[in-house]
Amino acid sequence: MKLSARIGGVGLAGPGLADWPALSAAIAGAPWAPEPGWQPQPACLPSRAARRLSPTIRLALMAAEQIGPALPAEAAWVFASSVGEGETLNVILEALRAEAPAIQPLRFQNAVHNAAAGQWSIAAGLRGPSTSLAAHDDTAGAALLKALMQLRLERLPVGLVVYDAPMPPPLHEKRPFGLPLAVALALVPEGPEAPGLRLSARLAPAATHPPTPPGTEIGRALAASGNPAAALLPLLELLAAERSGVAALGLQGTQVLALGLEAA
Amino acid sequence: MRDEAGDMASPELRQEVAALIIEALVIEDIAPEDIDPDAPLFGDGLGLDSIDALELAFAINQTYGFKLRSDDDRNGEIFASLNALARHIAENRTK
Repeated sequence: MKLSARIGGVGLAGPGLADWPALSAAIAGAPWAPEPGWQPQPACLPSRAARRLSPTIRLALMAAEQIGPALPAEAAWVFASSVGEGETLNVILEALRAEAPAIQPLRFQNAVHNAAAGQWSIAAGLRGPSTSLAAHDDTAGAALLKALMQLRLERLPVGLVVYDAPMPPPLHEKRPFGLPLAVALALVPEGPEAPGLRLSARLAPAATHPPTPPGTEIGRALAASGNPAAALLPLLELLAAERSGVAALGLQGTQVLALGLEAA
Repeated sequence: MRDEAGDMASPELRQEVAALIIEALVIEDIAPEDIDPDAPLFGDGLGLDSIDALELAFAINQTYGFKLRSDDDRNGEIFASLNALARHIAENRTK
């Protein structure tokens, strides 16, 4: 079975990479350095409402809001993160260690893996279904597979957000990421009026189609951070150049998600 | 006017609680001294909501060492105003 969609928009958030045009420019060779002390600030929420959310949720929302305008309120959303609210979990575990354990209500409220999906639904007034998933280092491939399947089976446009942020110590040592990164893709059904580049996908054996490494300096730097969202960089490199090409995304097991991008 | 039996919060404590509200709830456009001590904290007055109430109860527990319970029938009185809250803290604080 072959899956396909048009890519109607791209969103991006990371230190020194405020949006998709910033990453596109870096892919094209513009200088980039991670901005020290960078904090994600979504524009869709007043600052006080944003402060009620964890930095990880703010990161996911910052990428999501960039593709929001390309999707209807009925679109399905897929939020994917390897460690999700790991930073929140770390805070809660530290609080439970205290002599008189007390957990901050806002931390408790956002301690679930679908916190980002829920907060985005509320912020954007969405009415469609949402899915939250995790698949360790293969989170991006699993999420894109889920999004394309949903688009195919339910004929719904799908907003995909793949994000991960470093956890504080001691959880950090168990799964270290060098920097936060969120990537969002607006996937819309194919049609004569559909905008954007055409993305196709099929399963292929990992033995003959190893996952594609990034081909640019920024792509390699983001991949080297260990952030699982960086697995989408080879696809983003093609998108930035509006170039036809192929890329393979790792999946758990013996298969990969083999992607093809067709420029108009 | 309160009697002198000691249930009136000191102006210092009232100021301290006002600062705690501003800090714990990250209210950016109001200074502690701008909070009307007799105006409602929730709804029309300062405009706080139920999430703020939970956060404020948590901050009070951390700072003054006693628990405010969400099922306390007196919550309407306790959180009625800055003055009422400061009085309740003065009566119940353990630190």
